[in-house]
Amino acid sequence: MTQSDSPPAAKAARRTAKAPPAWLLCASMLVFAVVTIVLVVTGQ
Amino acid sequence: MATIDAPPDDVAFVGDQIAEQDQRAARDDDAGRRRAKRSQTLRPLLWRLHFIGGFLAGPVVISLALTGILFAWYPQVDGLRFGDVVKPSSAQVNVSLADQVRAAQATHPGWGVHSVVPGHAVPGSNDLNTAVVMDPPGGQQGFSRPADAVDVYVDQATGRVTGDVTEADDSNTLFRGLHSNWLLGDGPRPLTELAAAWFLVSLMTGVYLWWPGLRKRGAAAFAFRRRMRGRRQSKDWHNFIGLALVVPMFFVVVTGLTWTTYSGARYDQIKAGLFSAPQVGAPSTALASAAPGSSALKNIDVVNARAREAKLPSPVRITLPADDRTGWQATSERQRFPMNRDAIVVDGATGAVVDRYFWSKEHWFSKLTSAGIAFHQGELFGVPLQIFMSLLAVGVIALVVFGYKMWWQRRPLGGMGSPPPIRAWVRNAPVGMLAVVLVLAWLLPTLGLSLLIWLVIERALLWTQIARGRQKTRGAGSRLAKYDAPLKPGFEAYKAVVVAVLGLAMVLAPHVGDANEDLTTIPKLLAWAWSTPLGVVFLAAGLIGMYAMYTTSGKPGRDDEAVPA
Repeated sequence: MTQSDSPPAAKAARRTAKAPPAWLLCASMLVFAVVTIVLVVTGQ
Repeated sequence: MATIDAPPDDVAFVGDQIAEQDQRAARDDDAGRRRAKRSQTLRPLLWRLHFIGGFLAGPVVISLALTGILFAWYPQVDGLRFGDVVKPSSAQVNVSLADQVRAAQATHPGWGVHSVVPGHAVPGSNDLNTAVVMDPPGGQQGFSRPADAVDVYVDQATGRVTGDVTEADDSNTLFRGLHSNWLLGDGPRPLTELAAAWFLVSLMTGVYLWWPGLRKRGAAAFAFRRRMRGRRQSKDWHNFIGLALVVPMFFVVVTGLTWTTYSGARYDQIKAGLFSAPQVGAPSTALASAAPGSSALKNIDVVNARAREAKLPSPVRITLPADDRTGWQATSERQRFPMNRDAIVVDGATGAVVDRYFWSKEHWFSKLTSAGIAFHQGELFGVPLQIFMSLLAVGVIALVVFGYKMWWQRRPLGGMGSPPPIRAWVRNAPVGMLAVVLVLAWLLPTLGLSLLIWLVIERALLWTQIARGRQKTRGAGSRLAKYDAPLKPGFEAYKAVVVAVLGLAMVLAPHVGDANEDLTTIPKLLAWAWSTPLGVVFLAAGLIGMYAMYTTSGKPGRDDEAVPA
């Protein structure tokens, strides 16, 4: 299938990033931050 | 995967457009209607705050990011600059610590020894020689060490002094100075604090402004859309970077603000409030009775051995006692996760550990603060964090650059294109938002003061419009008409007089209280802002306001009656 005859949904999907979406980065950093804070406050 | 309705390029004024779309979408349900109503007032206001905050803080934020990258890599830079001095010839320890300190003392006769950090390995960076912190006679006290101290490095394999680095010249001090005040002394310090405070406001308002996009576009609001061009592309980059990095940016700003002058004072107040319960605190170095010979230098090896037995994680700083009534203190200064500040106090005469302090029993707020500082400085997780912080700084620079770019692309021909002011926002803003503003103004005094100054200048610009008979208000048909009614001369005249009097006082009596060291936070900040240039601005604003109110008030027709027909 060439780009010109691909359905609009596929075209739209291609417009999304190949890079990880922002929510994945945002959520992973949030989880990391929360785990670190919990470890710092309770552990050590 | 969610499909995306990609709009064509446009340079339209989208703030109001999005609010209108919100309104349309929300007609169906009550909750939506309430949300749209709130959005009508909040959105233009928060957009203006976001725009002004970001626009003015941007250059300083870029500078903070660039100098922050340098700061993150200071241990490696020190290794490059002072490699011959700080790096040991081998990992072996052949010379006693007391002899190493004596060798250092020989290079600075008459100087005192403040503390000693025995040589140690640093994971991911250079191993370090023993550092003997020498204190000049009559030296000044610094943050945790003497301000004019010199670190004399001694190779523990050979006992040879490899060189010295003054505290003021090491990369940490240098880059820290660049980062916080561009090495220009204490003057610009409030500016970096101000920029950080406004950056925080821009982060919070930015998330709010992005939120409607989330409602409309669902999961796709999180995605970065390719093939966008023009302002849409810049905005997508700005959204994507901002959202992806909002968590670490928030932590970096907040941890940085805790050691600024004015917000730092607020932090100390909060800490004092939280710490009303008995705290572990630092160990007591006072000995029960004088122990003759306790402070003799030869005892340092015993103290070092006790520190190793107590398993204090390296690096360990051994602080020398002032006299025989004081014990030796060995404290872990481990900045890497898990952080440690365990300490022991040793009686030099007997070699007994007389007091011990456990970091694990410290108040959670203290632990969190120290970990926050180690995170901000890129030390908490070693090299991976240094790399992450550098990428974060690059991301922040890109965020600011795309912010400016999307403004430039949206800008109307020959105009500034700044979001228009909302005149009566204090009267009409939701109580919750006013509460947030008040809390933020208390937490970040520079933010509160600058907001106040901004409101005066903004009002003065409106007064000039009135004086010129060109008051631009949103018409009766506008959604914002209620919040943007024409100004009423009566109350405005009082305001103008107050502003003019304040300006006159600033011009006539500059530098009020500048030199007073005992001032509390707010007076100190006011003393900083109390200046001739700001006085001139206020005086001009007040006079313009008074003139504007004079020309637009009075009873109509009286002059006509007085003139005989």
